[in-house]
Amino acid sequence: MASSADASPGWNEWIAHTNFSFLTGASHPAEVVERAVALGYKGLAITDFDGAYGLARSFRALERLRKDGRDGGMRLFYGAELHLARDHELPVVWRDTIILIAQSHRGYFNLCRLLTEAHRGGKNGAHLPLMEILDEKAFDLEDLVAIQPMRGRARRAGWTPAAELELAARCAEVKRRFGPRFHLALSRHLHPSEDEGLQPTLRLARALDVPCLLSQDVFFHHPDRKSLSDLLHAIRCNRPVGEVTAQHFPNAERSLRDPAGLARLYADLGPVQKAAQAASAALSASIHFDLKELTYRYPQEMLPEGHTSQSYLEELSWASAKERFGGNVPEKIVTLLQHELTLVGQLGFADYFVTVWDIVRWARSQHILCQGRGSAANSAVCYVLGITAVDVSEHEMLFERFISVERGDPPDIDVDFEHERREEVIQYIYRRFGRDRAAMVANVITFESRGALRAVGKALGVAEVWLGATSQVLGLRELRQSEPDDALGEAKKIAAQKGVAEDPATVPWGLWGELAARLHGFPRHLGIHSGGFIVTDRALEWLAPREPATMENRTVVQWCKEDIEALDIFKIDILALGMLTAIRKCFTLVKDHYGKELTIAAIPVLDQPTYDMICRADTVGTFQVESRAQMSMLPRLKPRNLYELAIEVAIVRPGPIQGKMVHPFLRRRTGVEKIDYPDPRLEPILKRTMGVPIFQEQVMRIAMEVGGFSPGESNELRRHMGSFTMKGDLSGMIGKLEQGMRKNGLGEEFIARLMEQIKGFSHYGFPESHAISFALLAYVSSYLKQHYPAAFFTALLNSQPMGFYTPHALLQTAQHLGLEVRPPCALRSRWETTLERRNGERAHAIRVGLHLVSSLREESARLLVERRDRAGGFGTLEELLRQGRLGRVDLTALAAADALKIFGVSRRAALWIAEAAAFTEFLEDADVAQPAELPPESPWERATADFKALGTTFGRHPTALLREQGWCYRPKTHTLTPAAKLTQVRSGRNVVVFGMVLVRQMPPEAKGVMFATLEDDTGLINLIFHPQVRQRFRALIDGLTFLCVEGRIQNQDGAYSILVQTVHAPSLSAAEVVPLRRDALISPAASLAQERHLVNSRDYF
Amino acid sequence: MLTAADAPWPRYLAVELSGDGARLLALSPWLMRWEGEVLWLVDLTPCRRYWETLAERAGRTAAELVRELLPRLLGEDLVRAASADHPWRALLLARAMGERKVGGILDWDAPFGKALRDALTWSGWLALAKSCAVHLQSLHQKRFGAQRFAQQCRQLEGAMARLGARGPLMLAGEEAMAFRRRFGSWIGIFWEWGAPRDPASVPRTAAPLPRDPAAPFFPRASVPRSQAPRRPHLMLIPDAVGGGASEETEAPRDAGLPPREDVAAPSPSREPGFPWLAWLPRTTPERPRHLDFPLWRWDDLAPLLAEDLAALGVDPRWQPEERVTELVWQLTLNDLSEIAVSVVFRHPHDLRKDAASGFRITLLQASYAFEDAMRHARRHRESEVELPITSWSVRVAGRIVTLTTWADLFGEAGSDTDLVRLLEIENALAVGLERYTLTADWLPESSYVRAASTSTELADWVTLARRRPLFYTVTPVPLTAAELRGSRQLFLERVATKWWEAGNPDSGRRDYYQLLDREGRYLWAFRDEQGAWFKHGLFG
Repeated sequence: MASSADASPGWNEWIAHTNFSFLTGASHPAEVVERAVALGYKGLAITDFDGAYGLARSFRALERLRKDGRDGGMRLFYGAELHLARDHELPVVWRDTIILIAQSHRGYFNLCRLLTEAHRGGKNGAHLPLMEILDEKAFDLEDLVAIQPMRGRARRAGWTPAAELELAARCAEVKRRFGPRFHLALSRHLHPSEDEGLQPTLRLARALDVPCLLSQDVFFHHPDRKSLSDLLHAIRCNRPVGEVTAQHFPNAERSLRDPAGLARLYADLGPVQKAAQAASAALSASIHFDLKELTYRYPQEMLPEGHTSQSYLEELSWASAKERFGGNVPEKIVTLLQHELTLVGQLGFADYFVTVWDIVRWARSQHILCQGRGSAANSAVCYVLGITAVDVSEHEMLFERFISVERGDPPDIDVDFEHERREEVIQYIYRRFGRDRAAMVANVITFESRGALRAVGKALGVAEVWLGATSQVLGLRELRQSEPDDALGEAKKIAAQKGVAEDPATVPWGLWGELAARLHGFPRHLGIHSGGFIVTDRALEWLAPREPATMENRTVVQWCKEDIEALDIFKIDILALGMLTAIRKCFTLVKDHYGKELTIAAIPVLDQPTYDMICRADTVGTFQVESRAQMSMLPRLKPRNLYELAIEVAIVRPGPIQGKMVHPFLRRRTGVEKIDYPDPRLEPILKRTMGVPIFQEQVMRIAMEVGGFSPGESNELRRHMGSFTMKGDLSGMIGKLEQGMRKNGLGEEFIARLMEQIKGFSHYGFPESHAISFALLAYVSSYLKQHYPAAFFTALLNSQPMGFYTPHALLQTAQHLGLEVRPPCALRSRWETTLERRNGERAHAIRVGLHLVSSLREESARLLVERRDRAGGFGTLEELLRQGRLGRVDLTALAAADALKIFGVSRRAALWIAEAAAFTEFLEDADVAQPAELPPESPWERATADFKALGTTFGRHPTALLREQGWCYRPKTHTLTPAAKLTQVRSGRNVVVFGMVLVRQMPPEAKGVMFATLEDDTGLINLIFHPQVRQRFRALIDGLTFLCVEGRIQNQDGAYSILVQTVHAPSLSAAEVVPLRRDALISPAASLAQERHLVNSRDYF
Repeated sequence: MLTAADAPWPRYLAVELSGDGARLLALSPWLMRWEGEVLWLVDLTPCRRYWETLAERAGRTAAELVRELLPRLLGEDLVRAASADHPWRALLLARAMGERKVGGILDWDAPFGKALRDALTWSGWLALAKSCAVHLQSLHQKRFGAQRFAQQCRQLEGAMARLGARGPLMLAGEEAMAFRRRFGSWIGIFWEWGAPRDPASVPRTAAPLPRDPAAPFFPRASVPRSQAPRRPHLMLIPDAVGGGASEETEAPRDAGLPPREDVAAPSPSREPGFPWLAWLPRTTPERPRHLDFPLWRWDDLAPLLAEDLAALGVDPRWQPEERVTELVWQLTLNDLSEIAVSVVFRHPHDLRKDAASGFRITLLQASYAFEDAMRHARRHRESEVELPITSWSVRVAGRIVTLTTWADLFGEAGSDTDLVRLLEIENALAVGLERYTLTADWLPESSYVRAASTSTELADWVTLARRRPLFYTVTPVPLTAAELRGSRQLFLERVATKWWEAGNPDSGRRDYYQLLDREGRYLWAFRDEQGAWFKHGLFG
């Protein structure tokens, strides 16, 4: 403890909050730890509110310093401040709390149990009454230290005698339970309101013989964070900062101060200070726990009697291999299995494999499609166990990409499940292992640019109009990653353009931007990871506390993925994939309607009609190869087998594109360029990709082969590719690789190209195994599309939302393929889209289901179908109204979708009837079922109404309508080139096209280039907007549903794009007639052209 | 248009007017300001005979006369007004004109008016319906639920969007009942008011509400006042020192002030059910006095003023619900110059009640105002001599018609007499009472605020109050080196300044001390982050 005489006294800080005391603490854990180290503290207790959220990060920060020898010998103490009442809305200093610090792993477990229990009531307002904590039957408090901070109820009451008495009684109870492990904390913050409790605390300590500790009761690491602290209080209270002064600390003293200053601060306490120094030292010495001690073990219950996890895995693997290969396991598989099982045994990962196998096995037993992806597909063990579907005997897989001895890291198996049934798998895991042993990984939601600006702006009382303008700016891709100051500048411009009346001078722009920048990256609340699971062999509290997630029936541990990884805790990723759902549904449809039972494995692998279709880029709706970029590459790459399809999947990625690998590969593929290798040693590695490195594994193997890297090092290189920077840790690795390659005589050009590719992988690149996993699904989906198109599109529609295209685009494509699509009908449709046998034909038509009807509730629709089936159908609309018993919302939704047309009622009349749904019981004496005399819909009114109700139309395509009846663009309609004819136009010619926007894309690596897909009544139109063109016509491109553009066509190998030069604006002057003309007022065709929300295009910004 | 000789008499005018409606009094005493719009409704019925007489003398139709008069009255080039035989239809047409930015005076049944009203959008229609709802709500109309109505409006909006109907025209053939069934009674009523196309079919006298409510509003022609439903009187308190014709008091047509002579008999043609809220001009009771000989001492003036107040108090135009907020005592001096003494009350003041105590409160307030005015006048004239007064007039410059529920507030019912007494005390004082309380704010100058602080959690701040001095300087005063020399300081507290007010997130701090200076004063001083000293208060 500090002594005024001691020049370097040192200090143990017993109360420190990080920003994981959400919206209260104003410093990152690393900042707190680093400053404490810099100030020469001996120890620092991290005591965030109601959780262990910040402990792992603090530990990681100290470990980093320790690794560099800069930790100064400081120790971390792990604890939490627990609310004893649900008084979270009160100022921090008035809340009733107690601080608990773990002395040992047992103490840490006890702490975590208390924290888990505090969260039992839900996500918010975690607390645990003191009496419950002290209940001997409920909780074990062994090796837990309790510290009562000098705030709470007594302070709230103004340290009145009554309050002191109450506090004394309570402390006596705590002391009874904690004994000598109970302490009182004295704090001095140079403010009378906060120092008021000093003497009462001392009196209490004397009366109860409880040792006192000195603490600054820290909420931010440096005094300059006071403003951020105030701001966080305001954000928490959702009020302007000036209106919540009661929540603020009066000064900046609740920060880490230098020990010498602290010694002076408490010097006048004399003997109390000395006693506190001794108590602090004794307490520090009694704590011998570190997060490093956390150990992790997988559940063991799935192991049969007499087996270890390794032996069981081996038994399972060999048995599965025999089963898969029919008793004749290929030599290569045998070798791989032996190698992998040995490695797994050495590293002790067998539990992990057995656990994943158990989950996958259960999913299969429930007919849930699943498939492992990522690096796991490199593993023969995963293959034979059925976790992955990529046959490792047919591909050159790099097992070190998955597991390496040097690394010793836990392997990462990502398993995709059908997205609609993943929850079943998740709940199975909870059931299988128990909620006390299984929990999902948390995801820390932080303040990003937009959120930080909005929150700070609101706290500073900035007018909504400015907040809105700023949000609008940040909604744009190019500014989303920008600095807040840039965004504010843009917001000012936008507000000026819009003629915002508020004076911009009243907005504290500078302050707003600066504080938003400071807030950026601060945790806001805890979310849930997309699929990460932790399962353990004993209670999770031995690792971390649990709490309920926002989603029902889910619990999470209080740490995020990075924390888990840093502590070497295994996690399993239970991911969701929409295409698996679609494939499974398609299999069912094929079985029901075509009588064929399909499985992924049963699909022939080299079906040429399927590859023909893929090469034609006729891939709308298929997996992975349906995007614009993929579709333009397919006719050039012409994949003819699974591996080539994997290359196709992998090559149209930021990594290879940025690494300039695409064109060399294409040239070599078409024979324009000779295949050569920079070094003969690289031939085996690069042979299958024609000398061009495309996959992550290839980079790793190059590093091993000619860069002098060990397998572990090469994997380290791969791991860092995701956050590539020439600074920091990776620079040494890059240097070593370059040096190694030079030493091995590789050319500078190749080295530079490889470096470019590594940079490219920092954005996004595929490992080979992952690409093959995805290629398999791409192939299966293409096969289904080729051979069972009606079932395929039906399955896709029933699996929405998923994929790249909207239901409208899928239905249009189906119609272009010659399929009959029937509109939703109250008498024919079911909830899902179904197949209907066409009269007198073997072919099937697609009957759109009621699920596409906007605003129609699933429950109501299913009830309607049930009642309809029971009644044997409804003969008249009145019967439907009476027996269907739909509410107004559902009935109007059906009417709006024109699903009542079968009764001979127009959409408008049906809508008018539906609005009176509440009166259906008075049908006989009311006008309810009598259609109103409403004017019939014009074609464009029909199109608009269809799109609003269904997101598509079954009438004429709106582009055709506009072309014929509402044309309001400068170019004449006869100059337009329809989509179907674009492939016949010679490259380099100028064309004018008109269509409805389906997709807008602006990939980050495209450097401002935007891609868009239009649709007219004949097909899809691919557009490219260069940044200048986009900037010039931005309002039109981003805002309108229909675009009329002029540009130069680029046609290559059957793939075409139009390089847009001009975007034509719709002009009302051409179409607007006398303002009072009735038809012009009700349905001007030109207003359709100016429609902004007719179709919800899928935008990928 | 009202140009045709056979143009119908414009019974109702909806006039777009952003400013004061007093100008419209030249048309009719029956005015209504339409909430949420820049629209005024004029009911021309009471003056029909007057206008017809004038028109006859001028050789025009009454409609033409109004059309000529309106731009002159409004003093605007672009007049936008709509006439119809129902206030709702006049409003709809005016709204349609506004939407299409069409100027002029149009009639509902004129061809252009018909074309325009057909062009009315649902958003315009709904905006009017919602503003009508505000009137209904302010009238506490039975069976009218604002939330329910808002929900029905949303339903209508959604239904019309689904139907693709931009305006009411598409549903022109629909009966009100169809709307009632779908969107509730009130939407049905509004539709009924606006839907009939043929003037002959307008149900002018029949109640349009077949089910509910039976008698929605105040059929003032048929229900005696004593039996009319009790309703609150809208009150708009005029600016305390303002006054004049621009001030207004809104009240229902028969709210308490006697009807003007020309509207003594309410027209039976008034539209049943329409929520008419009359806008009324102020009347100004006044009492002049000529003195037999000049007076200047308050003691001599007061009894005479009390006599005048007593006379004002029995003014026949003075109603029991009325309260005074301001009196203007216009003094004429012996040099014929005039001094206006404005006697302003902090709370509505009941002259009649005050009469019982000899106008004690009024006279007290008048005496303060008189002294102020005289002091000011003497200063202005640079004279020490008293100013002799020869005559005066006293008039009510500000008054309000109080809500009926306020009756108790003024002690009529004998309840809450403490509050009444407090208000009376405040009315009798020269300066208003101010109450302060501690608030949860660490910054000393912000820690006391005028009463009505909402914070109830004050423990910390009570502590602070014990440590801080009773006397503050309004703004900190820099302390010089000489003042600091030889002083002794005792540290008290450290506070951070409010960075958001300074616009700098790193703005500084203040260290407060008890500073004993050489003169033996205990100052409350602080040193800022730059080391400068300031005096901020003085310990008792």
